[in-house]
Amino acid sequence: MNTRRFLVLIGSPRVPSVSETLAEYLADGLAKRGWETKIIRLGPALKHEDKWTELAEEFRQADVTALLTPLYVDSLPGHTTQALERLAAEARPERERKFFALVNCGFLEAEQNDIALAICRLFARDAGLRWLGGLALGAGGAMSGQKLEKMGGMVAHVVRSLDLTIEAIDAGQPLPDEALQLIRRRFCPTWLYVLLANFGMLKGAMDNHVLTKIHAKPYA
Amino acid sequence: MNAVIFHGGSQRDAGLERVHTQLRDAMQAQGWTVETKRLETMTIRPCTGCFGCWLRTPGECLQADDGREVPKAFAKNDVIVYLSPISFGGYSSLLKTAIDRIIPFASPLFKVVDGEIHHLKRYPNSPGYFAIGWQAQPDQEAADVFLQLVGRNIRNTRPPSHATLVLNATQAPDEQQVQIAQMVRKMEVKQ
Repeated sequence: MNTRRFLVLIGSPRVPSVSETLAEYLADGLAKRGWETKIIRLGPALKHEDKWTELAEEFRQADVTALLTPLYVDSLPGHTTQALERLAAEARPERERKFFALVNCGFLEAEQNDIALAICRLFARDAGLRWLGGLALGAGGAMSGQKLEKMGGMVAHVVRSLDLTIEAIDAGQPLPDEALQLIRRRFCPTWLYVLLANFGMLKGAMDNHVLTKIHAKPYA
Repeated sequence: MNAVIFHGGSQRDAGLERVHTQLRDAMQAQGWTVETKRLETMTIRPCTGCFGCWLRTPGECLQADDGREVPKAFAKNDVIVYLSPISFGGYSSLLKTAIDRIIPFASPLFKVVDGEIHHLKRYPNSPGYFAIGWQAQPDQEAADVFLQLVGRNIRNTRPPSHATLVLNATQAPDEQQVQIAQMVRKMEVKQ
């Protein structure tokens, strides 16, 4: 049997990023099952034509492609949209190729990612790819820059969802409902998240000596 | 009565250009002073997600390019109009890259609005929020996602007036003109 190929496209411009952390977990899981895996960041690929050529070739070769991206203003980041526009303009695949997406946002509610996932589904339709499903993760910022395996019980439901995703991909199946629902589970109550997130922002402003200017209005 | 149209398409798209002309003329006929920002002629780099506009130079992006025009337009105008080809149900990448640079218009702090977490407003008043999505061919599935997307943008920015249209190249120009005129009548001066 030919080696199966898994490609992850990273939509985050940040390094390290939540998307990258999750991508590494998925890629490691499939590599252990004999898949050849590749992770490519979209930002640099769009800036350098040789990197884009490599990305396009990997995309053509991949049996399954995943897009892992943050939510920017209710949908996909602009440069991620640009990459999808270029990929959809490629010739439609002659063999079945599959696609799924995982979108994470800085809000607690995973539902805020749903429109971005609908956009990913329509990309799959327009690019001639079989849509396997969309994973929505809230409070992504709480996981920034850390290895998933080292984060303990707080992300147990995320790990379980990704494990189910890996099993489904390996079996050639769409993502199961359990994986789609588990990853949406909230880390904590809304009031606590708002308190912690606001504390984090205020501390960041204080560290940069701009706490008193945090609501500056330069264009008023 | 000041308004900005963010044009997220190409000047080579004759159908979208006609819609732009109809929109601009209809707004001017209602007394609006209209400026069109043609994004294909501007230099707007992607948001880097650095949070500098919140935590280092609050209210202003660290990138000194045309992207700074986006939050400025929101702060200084009564009405914003997005004009965009629909891309997989979303805005074109050209427009979306510009929209991503609106982040400094919002506060970094959060609050709960209608049971959902949103950012606080940095400026007391938001402009009216209008969007026209353009399709070369009718595509109801993509049109529905576009309407939902603009609906979410409206929920986030909480503007005083808003409306959304999806037009396509198979419609008669007269029909488009009627719909655009109805949209323009909903535009209000910022309080």
